[in-house]
Amino acid sequence: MATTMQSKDERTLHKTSPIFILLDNIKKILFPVLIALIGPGGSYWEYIALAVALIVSLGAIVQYRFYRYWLEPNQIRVKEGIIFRNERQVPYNRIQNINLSQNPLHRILGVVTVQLESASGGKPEAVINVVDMQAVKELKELIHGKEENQGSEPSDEASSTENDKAKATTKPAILTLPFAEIVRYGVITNKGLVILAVAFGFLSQLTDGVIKNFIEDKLVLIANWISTSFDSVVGDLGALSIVVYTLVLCIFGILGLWILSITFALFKLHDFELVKNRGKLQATMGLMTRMQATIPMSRIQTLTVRNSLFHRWFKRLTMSVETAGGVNHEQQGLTIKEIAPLFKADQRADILYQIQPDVAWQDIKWQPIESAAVKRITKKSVLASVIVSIPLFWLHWAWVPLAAVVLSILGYWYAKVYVKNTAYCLNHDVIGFKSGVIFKKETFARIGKIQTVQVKESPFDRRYSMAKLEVDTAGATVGAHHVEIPYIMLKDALAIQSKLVERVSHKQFVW
Amino acid sequence: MSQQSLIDAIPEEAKRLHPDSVKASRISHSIASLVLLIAGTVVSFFISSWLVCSIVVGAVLLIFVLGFIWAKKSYRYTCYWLTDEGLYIQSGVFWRRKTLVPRNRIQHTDVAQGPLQRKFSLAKLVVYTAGTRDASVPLDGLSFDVANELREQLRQDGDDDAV
Repeated sequence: MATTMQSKDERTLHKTSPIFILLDNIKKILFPVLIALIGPGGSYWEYIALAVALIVSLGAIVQYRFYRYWLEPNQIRVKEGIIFRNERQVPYNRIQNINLSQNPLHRILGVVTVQLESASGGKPEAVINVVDMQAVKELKELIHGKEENQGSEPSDEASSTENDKAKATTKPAILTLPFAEIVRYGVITNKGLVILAVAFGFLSQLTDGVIKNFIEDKLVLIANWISTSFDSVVGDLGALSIVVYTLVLCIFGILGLWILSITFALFKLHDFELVKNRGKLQATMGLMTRMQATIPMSRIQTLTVRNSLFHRWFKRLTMSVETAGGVNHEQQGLTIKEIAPLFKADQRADILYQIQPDVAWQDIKWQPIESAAVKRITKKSVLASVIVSIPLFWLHWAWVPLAAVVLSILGYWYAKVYVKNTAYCLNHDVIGFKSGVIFKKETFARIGKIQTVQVKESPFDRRYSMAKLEVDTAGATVGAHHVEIPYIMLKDALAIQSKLVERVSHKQFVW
Repeated sequence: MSQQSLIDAIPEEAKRLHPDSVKASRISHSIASLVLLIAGTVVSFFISSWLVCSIVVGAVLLIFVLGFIWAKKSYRYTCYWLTDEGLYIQSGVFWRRKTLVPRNRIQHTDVAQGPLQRKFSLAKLVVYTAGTRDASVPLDGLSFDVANELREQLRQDGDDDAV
């Protein structure tokens, strides 16, 4: 009896799976191998690297044969590995997110890579690479309950656009991003910088060799071409030409960066759609590689609204969420944090309500931090200014007081703006904190999701009877903006702590 | 009732760590300084400079004395108390903090003992939550029995990690 049950539950990967496993492995080793090949070399190390790569790739294909999963009544069981066998069981109700990804090849073959996240943090619980759409549907039904499935799958091949449109009429999307919005997103996030950094990093690996000479020659050629064509159009400007060159270069640089950033944004966010379906948020996006994240709304731990200087120029906002599924970096797996990459600032209330309907967003009242904080931050920045200015003594003594005074005034201005922009709020459902001068951020943590509450008091706080209140939640990205309210009176901090305690202990934590 | 500092806000039921924890931490400080001293002496022997040697000895002595004072101070400023809602831990000499771990947020607890702690029958209680920065909240220097008792008290009735 047991054996027949097993065979009924057992699933294998799709036939085309080895191709994708192989491609994945190639992607993983491509960069190091490339560097080994073009970098300083001449030794036989590169051949060893290649041999290792080959073995790893072949191993991957064998890997496919040994990958099995079972869809049991209450849990998914995944078995993988050849020499080191690994079998894990994840109850369906512990799965936080389901993320899907499809590159063009996936789409041609009608398959998809599935990533399941639980709250264990770090690596995804299971990566199913790859299965067909039918298997995905089956998985989703088991994890989210039977009744769903009006949600748009990531484009079933060619008919996708019509399908999406048909679904959109039945279930209006919370947010879609037209091309103009994606362009704005590209300008705001400026991811081009990251690409440039990677490119420079790669170039710096090319210490010598044909490729480096080639690139250098081309760069010199382009520079010459620009300067000669410029001279022929405008004429020789003498010493002024350096200024003009720099200006032109800056403009071209910024334009280039923007184009790079916009391209990047387009690849990531093309045809973005966020829909709500039976308590779950489903975001679909991507030009070449389509990605889809499904996040149950009740599993959202914190919610962050970002508002940088660029955001303010375009009157837009970005909203991201944190779930307890701990995949925080792209190296660890597929991650979609920005549930609403860009929306109009006046849509804020609506989007907040759509994403977390059970929170009373309308009765949020921001409480400012203590105004005495201006004095404290100014003191700090004056001290820092003096220390920074001292090395200028070697230039000329007069620079020291000048720099110190200018920096201190800037510090005072910063302190004023910082205190003005920093505030917290607490209502029955959430605790919120906002801060930032250029990059303004607001973070809300749901009270039911709070894990620990800390009141911290530094020696400087003590002189003013102040303290800092910090709230910890599951799945938080280390270093990201979180609820950490500085410069409030100690008695207020303690009052908030005891208020939170009371509410937290009456709310059972449900991941 | 103006609260100037976290220290003034400690309730009456707050408990201290075991007094032997001071001794234990002093001994471990001494061992650390001894290791430092030996390493420093070896280095200055190879450099063969009296100046370096005396600086090393001075620094190690300073570290030792500070550690000696710190052990007592740290003991004085650390306390914990258990309420219906959860476990409060307050610690820190200069930078003080009061951490609250709500009872219904505790995932599991550990009672750990090192060789030195075993000698004094001390233990460290570690409370684990699903959080990130405070995924584990340690309380070091309890007596072994108290640690186990506390662990029992923190244990929730039944399995109510319902999803």
